[in-house]
Amino acid sequence: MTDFGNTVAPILACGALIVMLFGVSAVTHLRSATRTAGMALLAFAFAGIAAVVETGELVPVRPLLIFGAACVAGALLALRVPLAARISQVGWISGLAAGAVALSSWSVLPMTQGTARIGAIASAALGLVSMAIAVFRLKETRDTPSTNVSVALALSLGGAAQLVAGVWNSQALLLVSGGVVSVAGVSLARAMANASGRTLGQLLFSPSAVSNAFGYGNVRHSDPEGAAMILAASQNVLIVPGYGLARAQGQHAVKELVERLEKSGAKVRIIVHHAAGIVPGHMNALLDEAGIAHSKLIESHEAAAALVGADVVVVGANDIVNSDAANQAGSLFGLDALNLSKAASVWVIKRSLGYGQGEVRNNLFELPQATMVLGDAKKVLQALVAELKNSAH
Amino acid sequence: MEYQLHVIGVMIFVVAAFVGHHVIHGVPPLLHTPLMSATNAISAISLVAAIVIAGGETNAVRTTLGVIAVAAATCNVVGGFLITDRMLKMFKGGKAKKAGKAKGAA
Repeated sequence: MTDFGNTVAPILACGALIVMLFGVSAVTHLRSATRTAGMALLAFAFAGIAAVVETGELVPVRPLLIFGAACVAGALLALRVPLAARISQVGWISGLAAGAVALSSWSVLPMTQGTARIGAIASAALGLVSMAIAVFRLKETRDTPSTNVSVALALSLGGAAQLVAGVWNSQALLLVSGGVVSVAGVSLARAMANASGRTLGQLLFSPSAVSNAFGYGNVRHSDPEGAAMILAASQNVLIVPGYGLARAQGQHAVKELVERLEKSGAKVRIIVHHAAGIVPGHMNALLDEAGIAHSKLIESHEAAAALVGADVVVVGANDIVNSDAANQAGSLFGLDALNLSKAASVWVIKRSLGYGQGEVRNNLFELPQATMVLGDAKKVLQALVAELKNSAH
Repeated sequence: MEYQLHVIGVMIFVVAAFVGHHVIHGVPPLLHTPLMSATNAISAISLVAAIVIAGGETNAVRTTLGVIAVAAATCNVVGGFLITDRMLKMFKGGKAKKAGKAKGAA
């Protein structure tokens, strides 16, 4: 949605909510009309402010703001707002739907003070907390993975509000629907957080913490299945082996991978860098042992042309694909490392985000098209081959 | 309204939670964006509640609100799955079966 849409949508949604609230209140309880109107106005103002902050980038977001917003949510009693979960870029129309449902089901219950209050507080809190999370970023740096996580949590809390409605109204159907959606939302949030290398707990409670011990900020992670999907469709695959491949003794797995990829129609070549492995020729000997044809091996000076638009699999190599460090003064200066920035996608198979022999950080991992597939080289390659076999059917 | 623990209710929730978790679990990170779109679509499962409300009451206000809710939630479901479909078409030989599974469980 455009910025205009971002600002107008929550206001429109809250405006609609106010109209509905007035309608319901007029019919049921006149006295509570003032109370509900007051709360609706508060929700309106809150959403409006949140939208301005969101789109105007006026205030740097701090985690404390999220908790403050949650407190405000708790304070807005008896306002049943699953609608709030939708006041975000994702589907504000369902917010109207959820709001209408909430209002209708609210008027279903006899207005007893005791349990009705508890139920209303619970779903109001849930709804408004979800709005807080959905509208505010979870992290100061506003990167896409955190936004996605916050959206998933908002969806989940919308489902949770429905769950509460189900409990409150003793409707088994709502228990089912609310249960499915709320758990699905949390599950998705967790999956997305893990894919960007952090845990959900870290994102919610310590967003300014560094994502991992090696200081990389924006790294994508995947399992072999994700890599297999891209490689299965690829026409041009380049493999860059390194010392890690030799340690894991994964050369036979490389051979299987090459065969599999060629079966699905890709042109596969292996770039053997002169500094790969312990000594020059280490990789050649390793790959020869697995029976890989020499015609598939290319040297790094021939690689530049082949790399453009290719899908690259880096196995157990680090310094030899660290072109930034190789061009600066430091331990890798003069290494003539491979520059993978022109590749279509880069899949890095390593055990961790740790340093190589050069003890220096590798900017390759933060390239937008690069994805880490962490694990032992042999195991990951075997998993990759298995996935390619499956997807070929 | 009495406040008692309905054991059957808890069981229903546990099964529903299990279904919800398994619909999402195991989808590769590459497919997270279409998955998010699909989750948005299935979160319009408030359609179920809307139908319950719209069909169940005799009061005109409640029924009207319920009807509006049904319409809006249906827009959300249909639109959400259309968008998810468009996203999935961008993956060659895509795992459309995952979206289908989500559709089936919703």
